[in-house]
Amino acid sequence: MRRRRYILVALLAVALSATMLAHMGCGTKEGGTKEPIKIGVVLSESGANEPLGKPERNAIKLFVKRLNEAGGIDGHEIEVIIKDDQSDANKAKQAMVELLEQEDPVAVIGSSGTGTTIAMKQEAEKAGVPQVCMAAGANIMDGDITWIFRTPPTATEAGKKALSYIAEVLKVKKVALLYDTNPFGTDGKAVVEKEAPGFGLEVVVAEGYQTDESEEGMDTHLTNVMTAKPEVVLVWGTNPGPAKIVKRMRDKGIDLPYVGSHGIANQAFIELAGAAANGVVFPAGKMLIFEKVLEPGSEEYEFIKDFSDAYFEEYGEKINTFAGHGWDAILIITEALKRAGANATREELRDAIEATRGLVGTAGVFNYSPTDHNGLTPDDLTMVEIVDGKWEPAKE
Amino acid sequence: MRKNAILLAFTAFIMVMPFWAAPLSKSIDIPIVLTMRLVGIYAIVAVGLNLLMGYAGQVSLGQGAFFGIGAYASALLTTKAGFPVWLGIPCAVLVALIFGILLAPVLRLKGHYLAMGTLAMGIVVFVFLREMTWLTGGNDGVRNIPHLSLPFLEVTSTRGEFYYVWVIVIIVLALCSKLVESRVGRAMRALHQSEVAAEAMGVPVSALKKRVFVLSAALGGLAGGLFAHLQRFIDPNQFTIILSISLVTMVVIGGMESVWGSVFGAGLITFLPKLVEALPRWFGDVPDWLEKYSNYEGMVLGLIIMLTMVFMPSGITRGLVDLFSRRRSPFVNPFRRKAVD
Amino acid sequence: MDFLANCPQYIANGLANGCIYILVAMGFNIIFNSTGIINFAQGEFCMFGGLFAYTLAASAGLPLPLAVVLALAITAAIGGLMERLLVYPLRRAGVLVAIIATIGASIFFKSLGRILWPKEAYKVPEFTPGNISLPGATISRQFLWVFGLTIVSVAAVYLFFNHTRSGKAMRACSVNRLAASLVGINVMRMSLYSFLLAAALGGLAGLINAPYASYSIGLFLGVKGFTAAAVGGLGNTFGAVAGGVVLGLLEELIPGFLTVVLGVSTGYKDAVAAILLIAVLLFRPQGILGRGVVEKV
Repeated sequence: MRRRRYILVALLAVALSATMLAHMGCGTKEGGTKEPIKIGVVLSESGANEPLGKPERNAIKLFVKRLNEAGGIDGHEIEVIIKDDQSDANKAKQAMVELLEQEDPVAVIGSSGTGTTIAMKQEAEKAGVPQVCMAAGANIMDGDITWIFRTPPTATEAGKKALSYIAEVLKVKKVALLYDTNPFGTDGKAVVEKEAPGFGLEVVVAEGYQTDESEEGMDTHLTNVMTAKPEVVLVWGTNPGPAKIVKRMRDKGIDLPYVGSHGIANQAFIELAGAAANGVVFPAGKMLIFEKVLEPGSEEYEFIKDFSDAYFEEYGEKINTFAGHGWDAILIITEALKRAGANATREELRDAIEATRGLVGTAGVFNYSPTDHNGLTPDDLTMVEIVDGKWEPAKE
Repeated sequence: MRKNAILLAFTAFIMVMPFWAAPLSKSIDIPIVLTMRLVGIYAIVAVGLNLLMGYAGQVSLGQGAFFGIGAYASALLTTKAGFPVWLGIPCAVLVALIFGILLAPVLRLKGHYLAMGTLAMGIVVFVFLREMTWLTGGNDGVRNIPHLSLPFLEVTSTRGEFYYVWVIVIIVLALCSKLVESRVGRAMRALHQSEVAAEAMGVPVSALKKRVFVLSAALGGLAGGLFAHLQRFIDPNQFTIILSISLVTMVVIGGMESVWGSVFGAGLITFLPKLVEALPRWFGDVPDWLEKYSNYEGMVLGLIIMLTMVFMPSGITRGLVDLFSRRRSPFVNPFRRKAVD
Repeated sequence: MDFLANCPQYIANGLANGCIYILVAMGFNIIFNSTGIINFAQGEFCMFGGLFAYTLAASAGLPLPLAVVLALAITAAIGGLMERLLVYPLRRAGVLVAIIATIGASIFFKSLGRILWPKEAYKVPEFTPGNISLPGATISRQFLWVFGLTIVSVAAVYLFFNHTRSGKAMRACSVNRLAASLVGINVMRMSLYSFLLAAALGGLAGLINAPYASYSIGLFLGVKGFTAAAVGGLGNTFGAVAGGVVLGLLEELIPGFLTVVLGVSTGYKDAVAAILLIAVLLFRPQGILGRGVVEKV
């Protein structure tokens, strides 16, 4: 009996003290003369998409820091509230709802991966808040696109770029597709199988692999696809799977052309694949080799150069594609805010983003419209070839 | 009597929670009601898993599979077959129950073998959810799943979802505490101590194990069904081994053989990241490494599991109760040598 | 008959993977024999082996043989530490508690690996780069090392358990711990030795397993290794060999058959090991080489 009383008392005490705390904590914020503009950010800073989320976070923080130092927007500072979704759709949704309920942001950025972005998208629709995502999955734009915008080139643009390279430069017909069984890979697989006939190509075999498999495991997948007698091998995945495949391919003396996805547009691929990486061709944003494909002095060149220098000065690291996606996402929102005014509502901001034309970003020139929320075209991509461990423009 | 009083007090506590938690959430920067919805869902699975692990002594590292099956069942029935949600969730329970019956032969295994067998079961279910694209949509997942609903009433607000989930949790808790106090519950504990002894005492061991397994599968399905409508977007990557392992963690941290412990465990594991995330907002600038808690969440969880197992094998809930009631020390000193060593 | 033409390659690849599984499986067996525990952190030993070899050889620039030996020593030390701090205190606890504690260790190690080596993968230098062409198959030279080191390890483990005092003492522990301690065997020291040995074997598997190391490899190799051990009969050294080879071959031949003959290429390969594990556990729990299990009451 005594125990029971204890428990009741304890519960009551907890409830009471919590209520008191709650009322004590309601202070008012002081400081800036004008209300800051709140932008919510959900990124995959850990989990499978960590290599994407971290540079994105860095870029967004740096951009906002520079903007606020320059006076913000009409004297309003930008405040970003960053949350980590751990590459998990469940946590992304939770983070999104938290942001919407607690912070009332005028726009949200996120997320890094496709699944996490879709989970957020549904909440953005429900609440009516503009969302700018940095995920490439083509399927994100299925269904309602009222509130969602995107900065990276999608699997569709990358796929089309790679396929047109195969059809027009390599001039071959039979494609063997190897894809990672993770969401990045299956999304690419769907795009390639859908778009290939349009380029007069035939996907003779499509084989899924797991990125953790050993080189020998990859060798078996290669052996399987080679029996279909392809003329080119297209590999859609992120590290380290594609590196193991290209190494095994060259070891076995298969000298078919190897075309990769934008998932290998990083230094890690070159380190992992070593000499075998030579000759690998993949689609990527122009930023990757901007010094070689863009004219010095042009608007795009200067924009990326400025970003690259600022990023290196702040973090001591070279820019990469994902940092660029983060930079573009916050750029698109703040540019739209400048046009719509610092006190714009979510609807006005959304319309302003939709009215974005010819905005130079790191991934290309963004043009949004009511029917196109992707912003980029395959022309914003370029084919990159690895030559002696360096990225070079591929022959077009 | 005492059990009823606790349940009653807990129910009252939960029912008034949204009223005091909403302003509190704002001031401490932790979304309490929002997170509590998930705690409720995990509590349902964890209680079911505790019946199996804590009471009947059968390890399962594949409980996430039933959670996933339940989630997919309800999600697909409501989005593709047009079922209303209040019908979809019972169907999820039914589907998970059927899978429980189908997979029950795995209980022929014991100890480590059972652990690995159920782990493998979880992997197989994950791969099938991912690869049966014609049914599950593969990695694209199922999206635009309808909100939780009662007949004629859609529940869309956070507070509504909170009550929806927790009413179910309390019913489950009431039933499960009844069950463990009953003859069946005693038989289950006997089973945990020694299967042979239990058999000798007339407990139908394998039938009982099977029933508990199916019950825990059904509870997993129930929680999965609720989860799908709360989450509204599911893909296979939400139902990996990692989920199963964190469910086991909730049970052991909360304490085996304790229905309430599982609720506590679910709460602790779900709130811990929120707590650490809130630290920078409370104290201004915290060191960079502390801010990136998610990076070392695994280390913290692993450490909690290991420390609990070594020093408080009966779980934190039981440990705290023992500590306060001063009946006996909850700690063990595992490094002390005994003659048998 | 493309499938038959491909078979030599499938078999070579299957054997290479099988060797890795054998090494991991032996680690499971050794610990199981001396302590009665299945160490769920066995896969994480592989992770440490590979990543330390990377750090020492590629990053710190030590000569490869020295780096390999050091990496194995560090991994063994981690295993020993785990035994002293976690397994030894739990020696009187039940199976369930021990299982969960090693799961906790596995989560801890994986997270540690992720913090220390944050990239997706690291390239460990190959022992000898290059390839060998055989009729119908091309294999890497690394394969010869994998094959050779596995044979040496199996032989060494076999000799150790059958022809040395410590080995025999460890086997005695597996038969009856109480009786072993009564005849003067230090059961606790044997438990420590078994973790040192198992961690070193796991580390070896991790660093020769094709030259890519990542923090995520642990679960992958752990499940495969346990499958191999269970298929062959838990605790049986030659069982591990048989189990590893069977698993390695099936994993390559089944998807090969599906793709090349039936034309359905899928990601179902990921489930092959798990299904095999369930099937063996249910229908032949003593493993393909094991004798009947006598249950202790």
